[in-house]
Amino acid sequence: MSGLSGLSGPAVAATPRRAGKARAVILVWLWGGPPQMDTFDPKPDAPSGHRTPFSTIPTRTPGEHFTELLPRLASRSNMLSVVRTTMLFADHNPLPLSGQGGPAALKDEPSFGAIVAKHFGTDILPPFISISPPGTSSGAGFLGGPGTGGGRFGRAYDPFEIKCNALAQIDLPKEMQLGDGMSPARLSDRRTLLRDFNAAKRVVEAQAATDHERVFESAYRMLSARDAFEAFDVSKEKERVRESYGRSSFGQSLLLGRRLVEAGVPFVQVNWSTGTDALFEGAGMGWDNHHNNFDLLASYQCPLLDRGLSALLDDLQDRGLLDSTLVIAMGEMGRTPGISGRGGRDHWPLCSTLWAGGGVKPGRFIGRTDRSAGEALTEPVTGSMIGTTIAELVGLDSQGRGEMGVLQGGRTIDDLL
Amino acid sequence: MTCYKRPAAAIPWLLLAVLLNGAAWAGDPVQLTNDGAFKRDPVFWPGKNELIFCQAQSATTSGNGGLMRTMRMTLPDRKVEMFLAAGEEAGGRSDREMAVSGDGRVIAYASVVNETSKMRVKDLANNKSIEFKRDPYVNRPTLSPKGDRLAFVKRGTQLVLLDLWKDDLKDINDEAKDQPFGSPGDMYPNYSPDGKRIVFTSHRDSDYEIYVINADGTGETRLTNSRGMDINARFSPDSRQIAFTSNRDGNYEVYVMNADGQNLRRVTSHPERDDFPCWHPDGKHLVVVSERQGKFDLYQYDVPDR
Repeated sequence: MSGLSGLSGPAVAATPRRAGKARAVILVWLWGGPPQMDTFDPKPDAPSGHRTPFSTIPTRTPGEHFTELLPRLASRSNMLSVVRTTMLFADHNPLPLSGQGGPAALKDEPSFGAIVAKHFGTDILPPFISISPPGTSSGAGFLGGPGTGGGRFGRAYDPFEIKCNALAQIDLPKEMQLGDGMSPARLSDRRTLLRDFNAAKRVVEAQAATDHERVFESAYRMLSARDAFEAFDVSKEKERVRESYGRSSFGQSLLLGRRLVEAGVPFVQVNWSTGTDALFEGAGMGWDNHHNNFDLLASYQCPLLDRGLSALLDDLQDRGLLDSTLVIAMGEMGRTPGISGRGGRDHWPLCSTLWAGGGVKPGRFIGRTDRSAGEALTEPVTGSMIGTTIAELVGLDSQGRGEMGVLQGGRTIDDLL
Repeated sequence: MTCYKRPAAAIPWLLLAVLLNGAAWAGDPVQLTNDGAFKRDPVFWPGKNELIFCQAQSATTSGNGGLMRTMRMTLPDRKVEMFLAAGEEAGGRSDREMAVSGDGRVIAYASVVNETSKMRVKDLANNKSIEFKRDPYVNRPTLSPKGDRLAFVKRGTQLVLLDLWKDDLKDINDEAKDQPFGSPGDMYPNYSPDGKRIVFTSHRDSDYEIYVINADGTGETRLTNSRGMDINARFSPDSRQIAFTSNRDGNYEVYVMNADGQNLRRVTSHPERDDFPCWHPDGKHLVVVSERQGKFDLYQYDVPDR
């Protein structure tokens, strides 16, 4: 039980330097990358071979349109803003998650989640939780790759990875799972607690000391706090709320994300996918639509995204959480203006990102792109600017970023603030 | 305005309107499944009261969550079982887009095996099969009534016809055997049960509209002209009507029209999604994947009178 000696204080406690408008962040990670011209930046006058086959529909913002695939989000443009000139790294790479933009990036750079986690800390729940669907491919770059976790902050700031399926059945890391017949209430029995700790200790003894400490402390804090543990129980939600998100792993993961934010988790990353990971080769793996782009968007991706993300915004607003919760939806990249010989769109740096809540001014469409949505006609927004904007909104100012050694010299996306 | 000023007088007219409307929608749908899992591509087995459809495998906390399985439902008892065995492929296998020839002898479907796409055609009577490899990307198969011809989408945008079971046919990659038709931007083909025509969707002219072409590639005709998508068209068993999905009202709904594009009738009307229509063999009902309360299930709808 020597490992318990260091458990009296919060594992990652840190007092925010100042309060920001956002007390929490939900990052919706649409890995691969949504085709900007088929979703949030339609170009009906693009040349043949580039032009989206989907009709445009007006948003609630005068003069601005989405494609017909996103009617619910279009009707909520008064709740969100779109940055149409986001310039990321045109390849599979989690570097945008840490604000980096190219191959010279630092592999030990902490991700946005780690930065926010270090800024806020939490007393009970892990400060950075990443939610993925079961069966997520081992090739998913957002799971454990450089720039996706704590980096040089240490593994204490890695995301706490959990799985959520379409039934909202949650798969916690094994060291967090209660044994058969156990409940948070029973864990108040110290003898039971000791037995579980010993079991958990055996699980983690083979791992690095820092990892051991992180896992052990998280397990202790969560398993001993019934209310915190119940944040993972989506069945506590009203059926009406669960239905509104859609019974996909993506929809239910968004709902779980809202519950975790409500319980005090400062950064939740919801990773796209639903129960059809392998539906299409090279395309079902997130939003990497090299093949069959249009069928995939119409039959599968956009209906689920439109429903789930709209429900999240409504739910946060209904609960009075939208003003204090920053929601960002983004991918690794955008897609090529030209339609490939496989009926798909390939990798491209220019993309659209969605922002809502947490101090973001809604109803704004930022940046102009050319007639194919391939080139930015106004100043591009970089990954560093995304990170700096997140930091400012959560109250991590330039001095704080300097002390952390992150996002130094970064600029905010002023039109959002 | 009269309704608001004289509500009592308006009641009989409202009742009449409700009754007429109810007749137009031809009754409540019958729910065939209730598990809520993501579904697509239902098709009736010719000559049998059996429904084949694709369904997302229940994704649990470990293993290969999220693969699509092809299921068979017998009616009217609604017993569901696996149609195609799960197989032993490493990384799992997803099957979708099942097509059946009119005589039930040949099936064709798209698969993803260990993240690599394939299309498979099987002659169930003679135990023969053809596996079409990953390049070029092929999907959305549809079979002629006798199972001797296959139409499909190649490279995501080109319709192709192929004579099956020829001795010299190695696989679909033999482009010399292809018989392309239509124009770039064509998708979702479906053979008419009489074998004379193929209906499909294309964005060649504007947004997604429905077209029909003779089975020999001649006589192309545009059938719809509406704002929004008209997709997933399916011929009725007598080849005289076409069911399809459209978002012309801002939401995915199922409609029926005559095979010449006339006499449009709306089948579903719900703020959630209705998609993937398939005809019951009696020609009087459609089975549709309807999203209700966020769940995807199969529902059977009456087809409105012509």
